[in-house]
Amino acid sequence: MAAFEELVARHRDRVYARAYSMMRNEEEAVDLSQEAWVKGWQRLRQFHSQSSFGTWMTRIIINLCLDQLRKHKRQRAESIEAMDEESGGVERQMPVVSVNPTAGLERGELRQRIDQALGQLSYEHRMSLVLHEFEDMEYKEIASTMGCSIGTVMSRLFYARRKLAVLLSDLKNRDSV
Amino acid sequence: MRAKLIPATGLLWLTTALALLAGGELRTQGADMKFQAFLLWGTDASKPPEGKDYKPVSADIQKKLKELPLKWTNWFEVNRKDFAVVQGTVSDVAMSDKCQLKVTKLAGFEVEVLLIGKGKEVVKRKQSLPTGEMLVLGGNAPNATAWLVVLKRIE
Amino acid sequence: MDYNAQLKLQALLDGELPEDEASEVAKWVAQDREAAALLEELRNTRGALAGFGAEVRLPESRQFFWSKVEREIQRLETPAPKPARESYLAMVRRFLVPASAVAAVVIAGLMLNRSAGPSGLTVAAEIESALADSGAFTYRDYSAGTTLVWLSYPADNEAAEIDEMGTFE
Repeated sequence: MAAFEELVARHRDRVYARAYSMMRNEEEAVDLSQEAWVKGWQRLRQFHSQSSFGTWMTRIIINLCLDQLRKHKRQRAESIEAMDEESGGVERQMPVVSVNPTAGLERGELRQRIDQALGQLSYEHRMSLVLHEFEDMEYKEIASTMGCSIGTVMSRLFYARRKLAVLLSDLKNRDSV
Repeated sequence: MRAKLIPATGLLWLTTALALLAGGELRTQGADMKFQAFLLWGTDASKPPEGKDYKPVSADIQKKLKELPLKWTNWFEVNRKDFAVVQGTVSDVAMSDKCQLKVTKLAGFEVEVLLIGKGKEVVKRKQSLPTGEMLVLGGNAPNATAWLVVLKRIE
Repeated sequence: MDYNAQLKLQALLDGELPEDEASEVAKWVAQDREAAALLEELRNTRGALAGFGAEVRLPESRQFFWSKVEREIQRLETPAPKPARESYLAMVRRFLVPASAVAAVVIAGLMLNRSAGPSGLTVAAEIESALADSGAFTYRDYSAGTTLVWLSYPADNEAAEIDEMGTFE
C-alpha cells in the first residue's frame, strides 16, 4: 500500500488535470480522480509495464469521465449554445485567423485564455481535442473511445480547433481594447 | 361562528362533472389517435431554392418552433400528412421517398415513433403525447440548413 | 476550398495521411495561399495547446487525498460480516413480511385500476433509444408541450456527399 501511495503522489496531478480538462468542474474532477485511483488499485494486476503507469491511469480517468459525461447528457437538455455549435457546419465558413492569438502572451495568461476557451466548447468537441492534443491519441483510438466514426472525430476536431482559434482571437482583441 | 356547509346539490353536481370528465378522458385513451406530420426545411434564406414549391409553415407551427432553441429563421413545409393510429397497430407514413415515420399507439397517451431515413432506422422514441403536443425530430442538412419531422397530435 | 480538402489539411498536420497522399497535399499547400493560411491557423492552435494542463494541481493536500482513497479501498476490501444462523421462525417471517407487502400493493393496484377504467391512468416514462445515432439529445418545453430531439444524422462525412436539400426530401 505504501508503494501505491507513492504512485498516487507522483501521478495525482496528471490524473486530476485530465479529469478537470474533461469535466470543467473541480469538485467532480476530484471525485472522479479518487474513483480512478481506487479502480487503479483494484486493477493493478492488469497493468502491463509496456505502457507507462501514468498513461494507464489516464486511460482509467478518461473512461470514468466519459461515462459521467454521458450520464449528464442523458439527464439534461443541451443549452442553446451547444445546439448552435452542433448545427450548421459553421466552422467551414469561418475566416482564417491569420494572426497567432497567443503570440506575446505569458504562460499564465495563455493558460487562462485556453481554459476559458475550452470551457465554451461542447463536451464532444472538447473531448476530441483533449484526447488528441493531450493524450496523443490517433483518430482511430479517439473514435473507439468516444464510440463514433473516424469521420465524426475529424469533424469535431476540426470544429474545436477552428472555434478555439476564433475564441482565443476574440479574447485577445477584447483584452487589447 | 356557524361553519359554512357545502350545499349537497353543489357537491352532487361537482361529483357528476368529475365523473363525466374522467370517463371522457378514459374513453379518449382507448380511442384512435389522430396526428399531423410535417416534413420541414429550415433556412435563413427568405425563400425556398429555385424550382422547389415549398410553402411557409403555418403560424401555429412557426410559433412553436420559435420557442425552441433552433437558430434558423424560416421554416418551409416540404410535405404534410394527416393520419390516425389505432391501438396496437403501426401506422406507416411516408414523408418523402427517403423518409418514413412508423407510429405505434401504446397504452394511455404513450406512442412509439420510429424515424427511418434512407432505409435505415435513425431514432426510436417512446413518450407520452397528449392532444395538442408535438414531437420534433431534427438534424442538420447541407449548406447550413436543417430538416425537421414534426409530429403533432390533434386528437 | 471544400470541406473534405479542409479536413485533409488537418489530417496532414496530425500525421494521419498515408505517405503518398501526404506529399500530394503538401504540394497543393505550397501552391495555394488559402490552404497554407488555414494550415498555419491549425498549427498555431495546436502550438497554443502544447503543454497546457502541465501546471494544473489537484486542489487537495497529498495526505488528505490519499486518506480518502485509502479509506475507500479498505471499505471495498473489507468483507461484509457473515450473518449468524437464524431460527426457522425468523426465516419464515423474513419471507412472509415482504411477500405480504407485495400482495397488498398488487391488490391495491388492482382495485385502483378497476375503479379507474379499462386502461387506467399511467404516467409514461420517456424512453429513447437512438439507433443509428448516438449523438442525439433532447430538449423539452413543458409549457408549450413540445419535445425536440436533435440528431447528428446525417453524420458530417455523409452530409458532404449530399446535394442541396437532399437529406430527406
